[in-house]
Amino acid sequence: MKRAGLLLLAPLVVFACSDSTSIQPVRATYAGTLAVDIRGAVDVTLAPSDQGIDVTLAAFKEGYGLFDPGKALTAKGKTETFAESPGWQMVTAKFAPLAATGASGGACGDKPVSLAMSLMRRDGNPRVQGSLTAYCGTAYSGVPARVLRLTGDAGPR
Amino acid sequence: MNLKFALAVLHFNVQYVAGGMTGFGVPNDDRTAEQVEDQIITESFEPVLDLFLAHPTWGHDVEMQGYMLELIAARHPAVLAKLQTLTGRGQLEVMSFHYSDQLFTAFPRAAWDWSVAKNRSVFLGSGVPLSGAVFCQEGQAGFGMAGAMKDNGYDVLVWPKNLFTYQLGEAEPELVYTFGERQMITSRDLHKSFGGDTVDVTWTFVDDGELLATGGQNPYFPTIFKKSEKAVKAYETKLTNLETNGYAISKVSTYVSALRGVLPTPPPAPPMLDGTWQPNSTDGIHKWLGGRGVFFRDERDNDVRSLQALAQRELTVATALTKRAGVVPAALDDAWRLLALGEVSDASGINPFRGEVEYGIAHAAEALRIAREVIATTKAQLGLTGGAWLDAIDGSATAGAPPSDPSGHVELPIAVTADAGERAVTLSATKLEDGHFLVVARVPAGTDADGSLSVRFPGSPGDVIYTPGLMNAPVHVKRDGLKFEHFYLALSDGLLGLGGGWTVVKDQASVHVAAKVTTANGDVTFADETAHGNEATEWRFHLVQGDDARAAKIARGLNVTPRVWR
Repeated sequence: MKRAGLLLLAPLVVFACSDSTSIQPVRATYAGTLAVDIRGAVDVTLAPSDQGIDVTLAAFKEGYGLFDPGKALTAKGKTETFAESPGWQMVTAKFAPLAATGASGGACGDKPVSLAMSLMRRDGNPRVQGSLTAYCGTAYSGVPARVLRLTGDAGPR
Repeated sequence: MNLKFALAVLHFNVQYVAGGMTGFGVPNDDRTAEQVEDQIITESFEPVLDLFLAHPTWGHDVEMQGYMLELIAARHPAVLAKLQTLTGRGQLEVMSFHYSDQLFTAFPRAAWDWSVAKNRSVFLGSGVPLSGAVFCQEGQAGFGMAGAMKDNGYDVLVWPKNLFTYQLGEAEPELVYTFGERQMITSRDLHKSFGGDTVDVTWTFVDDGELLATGGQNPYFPTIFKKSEKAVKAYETKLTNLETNGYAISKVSTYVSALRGVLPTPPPAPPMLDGTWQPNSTDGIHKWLGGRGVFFRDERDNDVRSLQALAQRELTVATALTKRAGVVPAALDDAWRLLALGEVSDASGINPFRGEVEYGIAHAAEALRIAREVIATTKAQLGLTGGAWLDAIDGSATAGAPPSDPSGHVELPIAVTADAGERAVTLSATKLEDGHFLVVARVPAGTDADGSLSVRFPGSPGDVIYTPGLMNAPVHVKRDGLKFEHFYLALSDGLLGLGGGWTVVKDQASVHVAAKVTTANGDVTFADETAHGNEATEWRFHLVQGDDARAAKIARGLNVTPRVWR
């Protein structure tokens, strides 16, 4: 059991020693299927790239009246660390605003939808947990139209 | 003179099922957050208003978070109009001490400061007066509230009767106490005589308001959480009978004003610790900070609360930095709102289901994202292209090198012990400076998802020394004046005295479970029964040797107003 724990802590060491203000190279691609608001699901991929992390959210089970679940969402993301709290690591991404779908009943009506992802990992565990937050309009703040809960394992692939 | 008052606190919580019912039971019973909120307002709140509209001589207290009033104003204008009528007539007073039903006694004051300011604006904007009487989510009560009440125009706190009895035994409380420069009453039926005067006070309802008009049903069962004519009638009959027997069906504020005319100067409230309203059934605040509920396999008390502490730190730093830079973006206010919602008590207790746990995590994660982005933007505006030290005290930003990993491993300075069941726990200590040590407990992932972790610090049985919620410095409470066997403390700044010149400070962004203290000895135990045994865990504590001032400075630097490198 101890050995398994050390292996799980290994990715943490990479991040804990790095500059929290710069874009972090992820050494491995992390992937998994996350629950979305418990009943839904999405496949997440966090792939290293020169500019940070290529984040892909694909195969949503539903679109929550906000986006087309059949289309993958992609964005350049980054990893944030906390020098004073080395157990925590955060991966964030902002997806380019999606054009209004015009679908009746959509939370944003005729406004575009801006999605921001924030995933937390602690103590080097495969588990990630956080949010995919939808804002109506082109800003990534305000009162959200929806805070979708994301949880699950995203380990090295 | 014989004063007879019948009082009540109908405590409403529109975040009763924070985030909605999706995933709780069968899909057919799924309800969105909006549907649950609306049902609370129309099935349980509006019937109460209708009852009091029919009895113009009756007064009552309802309590709600500002967020509920915001939703009523936005989506239920007819309900708002009824509430405005009742408050305009002076019949109802609306208690509200927080915008979200947050576990405010467990966090540094900044979150509540934002919350109370937001609350004020919501009440002002809705045309509903904010009462000077106070009752809080989960009946949270503590002595730090006295100063906060004074600062924000509140007058009288209703201290839950069971929290009083749990700490002080069966001694009968006074009718009213001085509470700092405010006043405090308890929610206990009392009969007192003063010369030829008598005062009788009875409490007709101090509970979740959602239960009154629905015959005891709650929003977790949406198909039966409906207005019950029978239940409303029963309550109406109860109040009618009391009125017939000479009781004034009254507001708390009316009662306290009447007491001023017959009572000598109230005595000071006896010293008590921060707590919640049903300490026997919830084991104090343990249920929200480490204690298991019914759905314990989905609970993550420490993840929820430590992530929120991390987010609150980031927001505190971002707020100070932007204020000093003179460019406070609106996004920060949005992030504080998200954090306030996420800090809702229901995300970690009493029996949170998975959706509520993840509600607390999701809202904190988004608040943290925004805060980090604001910091990055502000740094760029200040011309800081590399890492910098940011000080939450004054908002200063100074370019500099990152902190080095602490070195200087030493033996544990006191006999700290830890237990994680079948998993082995490693304890280590690092000397940071003379009389200041970092103690880390590490436990690897095991195979069983069902896990626990506890860390115990030896202490000596002197005063209980801690910083009550909403206060800025530690206080001493005489241990021998307390009647309980054990008690759990949230520790708003993480600090707890161990006696013998030692203080433990939990790093709230790492470990934010309650501290168990006893009256038998001075030992302190932090335990998480909701830990997941198949995940590695690291808890960080600081051990400080010296006086209260030194310990408080370290606690504040860690949890309240940190200096961080970003």
